[in-house]
Amino acid sequence: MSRGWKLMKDIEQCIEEVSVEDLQKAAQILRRNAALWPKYAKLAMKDVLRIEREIEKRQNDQQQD
Amino acid sequence: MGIMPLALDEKLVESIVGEVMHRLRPTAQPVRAAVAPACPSPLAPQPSATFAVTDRVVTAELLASRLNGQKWAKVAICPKAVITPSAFDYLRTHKIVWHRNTAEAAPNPNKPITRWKALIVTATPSVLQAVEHTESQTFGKQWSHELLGGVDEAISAATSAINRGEVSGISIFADHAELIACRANRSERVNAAVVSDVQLIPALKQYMNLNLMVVRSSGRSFFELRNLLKEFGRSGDGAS
Repeated sequence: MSRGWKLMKDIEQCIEEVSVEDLQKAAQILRRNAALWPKYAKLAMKDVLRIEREIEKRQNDQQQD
Repeated sequence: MGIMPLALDEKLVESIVGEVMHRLRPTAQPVRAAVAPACPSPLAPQPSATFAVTDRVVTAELLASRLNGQKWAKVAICPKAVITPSAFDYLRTHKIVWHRNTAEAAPNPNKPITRWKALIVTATPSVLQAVEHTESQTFGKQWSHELLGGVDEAISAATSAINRGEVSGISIFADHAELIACRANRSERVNAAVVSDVQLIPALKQYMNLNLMVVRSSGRSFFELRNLLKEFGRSGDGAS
């Protein structure tokens, strides 16, 4: 779980600089963590949603361009 | 008549020597400085060369562009830089060892590298997780692990590694812990003990110079096993 928490902390620091591929991988790691540690699943899924929102935003921006 | 010119000459010689030394001093420093840096040229990377990345965010694209297709064995990354998951994958697939560019991570020729090994006979998810966690904590430099098929194989691997001085200590994870410790102790240099409590390790290291820790892996949590490995691998203790 600590890795997921650290990962989200890192991703938040530079969310605009990382690629969509990185965001997808981060979401995948967090999803796996949520499955492994049910106690922290809610927190991890919140982070996943935050990342997915960012991915969606990027995709919308691309379409508009 | 002849003494005065001699005294003058001595003073003159001293002043000339002083002046020459004074003039030589500033020029001597750049010469020494020019010899000191041993940074590898990026044009000709050597297998053991380290490439330093100074960016705040390290991604796979950044690494691919910086390393430029050349084979670097190690990459040094800034202490507070963010390494993205794709960068981790890039480093893993290209088999590049990475470390934070800190004083601790810098190689110190005076300090010998201690090596520890985990031999896994009975593999449980907690054991694998604890071993992998310990390995990643030391950047794969101190700990390594091996999956083995049986007790005999583990005993022979452990005793041969200790006898040849390849490792500072070995930890075996198996259900037949007592049997392994008993049979391994027949070898002269092996000091094996079954360890169930992390608090026993310092005493065992001090009194019997423990170099083979045998742990019964079933029913152990990740945290217990991680703490055992952490305590056993703590350097500066008496393990030979």
